Amino acid sequence: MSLRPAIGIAHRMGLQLLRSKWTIPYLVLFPLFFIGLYWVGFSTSPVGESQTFLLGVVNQDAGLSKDVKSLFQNETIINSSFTQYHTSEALEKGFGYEFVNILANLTYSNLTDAPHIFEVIRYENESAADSKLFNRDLDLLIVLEPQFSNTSLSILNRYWHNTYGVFLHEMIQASFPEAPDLPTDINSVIRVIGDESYLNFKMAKSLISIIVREYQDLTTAFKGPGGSISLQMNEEYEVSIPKYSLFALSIPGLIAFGIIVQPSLISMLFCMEFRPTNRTFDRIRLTPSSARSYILGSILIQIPVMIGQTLILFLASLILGFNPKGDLLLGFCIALTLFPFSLFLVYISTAFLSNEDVVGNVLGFGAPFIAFMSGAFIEVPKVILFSEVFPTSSGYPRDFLLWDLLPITHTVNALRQVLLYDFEVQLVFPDILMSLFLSLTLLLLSLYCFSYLRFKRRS
Amino acid sequence: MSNIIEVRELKKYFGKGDKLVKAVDGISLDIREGEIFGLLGPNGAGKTTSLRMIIGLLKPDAGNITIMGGDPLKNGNKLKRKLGIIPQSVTFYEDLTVEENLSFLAKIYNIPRSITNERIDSLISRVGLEKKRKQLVRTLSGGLQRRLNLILGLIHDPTIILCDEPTPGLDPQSRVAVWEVIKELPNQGKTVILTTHFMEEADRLSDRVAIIDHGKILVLDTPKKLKSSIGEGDLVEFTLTEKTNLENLAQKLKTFEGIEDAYVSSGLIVIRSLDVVSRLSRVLGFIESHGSKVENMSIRSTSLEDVFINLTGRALRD
Ligand SMILES: Nc1ncnc2c1ncn2[C@@H]1O[C@H](COP(=O)(O)OP(=O)(O)OP(=O)(O)O)[C@@H](O)[C@H]1O
Ligand SMILES: [Mg+2]
Repeated sequence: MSLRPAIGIAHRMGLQLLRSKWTIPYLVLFPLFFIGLYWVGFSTSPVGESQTFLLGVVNQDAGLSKDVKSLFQNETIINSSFTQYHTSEALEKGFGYEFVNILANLTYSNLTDAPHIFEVIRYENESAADSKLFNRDLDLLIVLEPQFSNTSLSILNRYWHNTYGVFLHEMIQASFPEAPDLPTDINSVIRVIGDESYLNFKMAKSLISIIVREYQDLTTAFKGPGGSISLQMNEEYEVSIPKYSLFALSIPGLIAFGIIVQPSLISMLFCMEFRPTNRTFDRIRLTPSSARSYILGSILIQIPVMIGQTLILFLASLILGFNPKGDLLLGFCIALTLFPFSLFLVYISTAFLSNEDVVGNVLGFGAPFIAFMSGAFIEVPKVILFSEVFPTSSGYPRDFLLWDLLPITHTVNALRQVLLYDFEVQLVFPDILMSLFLSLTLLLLSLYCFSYLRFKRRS
Repeated sequence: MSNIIEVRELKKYFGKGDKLVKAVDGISLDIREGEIFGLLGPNGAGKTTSLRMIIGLLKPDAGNITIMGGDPLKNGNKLKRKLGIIPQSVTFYEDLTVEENLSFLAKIYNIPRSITNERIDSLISRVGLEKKRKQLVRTLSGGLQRRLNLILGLIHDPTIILCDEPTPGLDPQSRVAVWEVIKELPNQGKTVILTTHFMEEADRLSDRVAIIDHGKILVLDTPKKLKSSIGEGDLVEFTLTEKTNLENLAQKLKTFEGIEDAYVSSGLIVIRSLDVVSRLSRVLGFIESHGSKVENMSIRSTSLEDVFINLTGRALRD
């Protein structure tokens, strides 16, 4: 098959697009209008700073071993501040018990009615909590290992470790002749479990890591009131937990929406060929190997259109102050995976509809509707089709929702996770694959319909 | 001369029940290589529908079509290069220039680049569009658009050209320009099927003409034979001051000696006679004796129009 006919088709459509009065409105103005609208309306309304996460805790902490306890009760080696700052409960019931209480009491600011950072749910063992994680009834699960208390005392303070810290560590170490080296990092006795591809998990995890670091610094006998840690969402934490305006949160959805607006333009161009008074499509049908060339050529021309429009959407967002935490290039590539889906919209609509106004209306209303269903604008309610079947990178399958049938849902998810929360590519991979799989399936279907209905002799 | 296209019992019905339209109702044709074959018929006779089936845009309900000895369904792609269509409604990209339209078609027919430019030049000059070649088609006048429509069907140098009403709404100059191009085609070894409801066009261009009405072929022959089939002589058409009772008058005139035929058509009285001029004074006297006067009178030779009227009792352009 020669490529010349296909290139001819692409070239012709390119010329028509360049000369059409609809090109600028559809490809540039309309998407910009929406982004602009959100910018005007929502760029100053921050959200997400006071979300309460559902935190499961399995506390297996065995408490301070007798030797260690006696070591401290002798007060020979410790700073007198120890008893002063740690609750007696910590000594009696263990540092794990204390740590969980700290987590449960943490608030976003020291205002009295400030929202809690975590709603703590305690579990006897890991397996009891597992199913809750599956269902996303928990955002994150932490398991405190049996050595939590001992380690809490033996850990090295970031600032003091070269003096007292080391000394303390050695003293504790010396009092357990049978134990292997106690860890010097509290992270090694806290296990964090959850679905890596779940946004809430990501956010809760970054909070926990801040708190653990703080705890580690405060808990050592030499510094800080472990029992009265009061964390506030101050500047330091904003680095780890991105706070976005509603405008910024909407950008991934708006970009996806903007991309699926473009099929209207291309479809209208197609429909001009079916006008009864000027049915240029007949001329094409009368050429050899017409269907393949037409489809190939029309796909070719949509590539630069798609890339150009996606670029415009990204640039517009950046210019209006969208400051993504994640990798822009990766986000851009993910946005481009909407290509087969927008091709699908073109071929399915023009397979069945011959009138450019009708196509314009159907896609003009259809595209926002599809975007809406995918959760591009606001979160849509859960409608579960299959429980726990959708694979995620963490091995925790999640429910397959009705909206997951739309490829764009997965693209919006992936785009949001990458741009806003800096997910790595392997974490959004299942979503990208799913989006491509669904949209390619739909695309093949639509191509079949298009070539059957448009290129067969009509009766 | 061998048959390049054979059509047997071709049928196409549209609609159902009360709304059934027998657009093409059992047409059989043999088109000879190198001829211009005219399909003459009034609006809705089924000309376009027949052409669309022959070229493969429309599926017949019944019947057979053989093109160059082959079944167009089986050798679709081979035949597509041999067939060219000049559609009734102008068919081109309005937002492309004349040249871009032509070179687009050249590309989708996969015509080698080396030939394309030369062919575009020659086609453009054949219809006198040289000065407009870089102009958007939208901005051309209707006549010039028709000319472009014509050469678009010729870009891939087809052997068989189906030309569907090439000249509606054209001024005489444009019409003649289009006719010249079509007339030349057989000299280049091409076969043309031409549909028209314009008898002069069919008469001037066609080697043979089929007159069709309501999806059926009424007669098929050379224009000359068709015209002589209705009888010898020239025609005189009278416009009378008295418009009533024309039929009666015609019936009486018919009995006159030397008058072959007399009838009413489109409000005119028409008589046919071998030696028309010598009969005129008697006819005029008879008309005046009936209390009417001749407002206008014209003498002409028989046309295909008369053949159609003779066959159907209706004028072609009613
Ligand atoms: N797609 C269609 N659906 C329904 N009826 C149709 C269709 N195409 C043609 N017809 C009908 O079939 C009949 C023949 O139409 P066709 O266009 O072949 O006539 P034509 O001889 O080309 O007339 P014209 O001189 O007006 O071009 C007409 O009555 C027309 O209304
Ligand atoms: Mg017609």
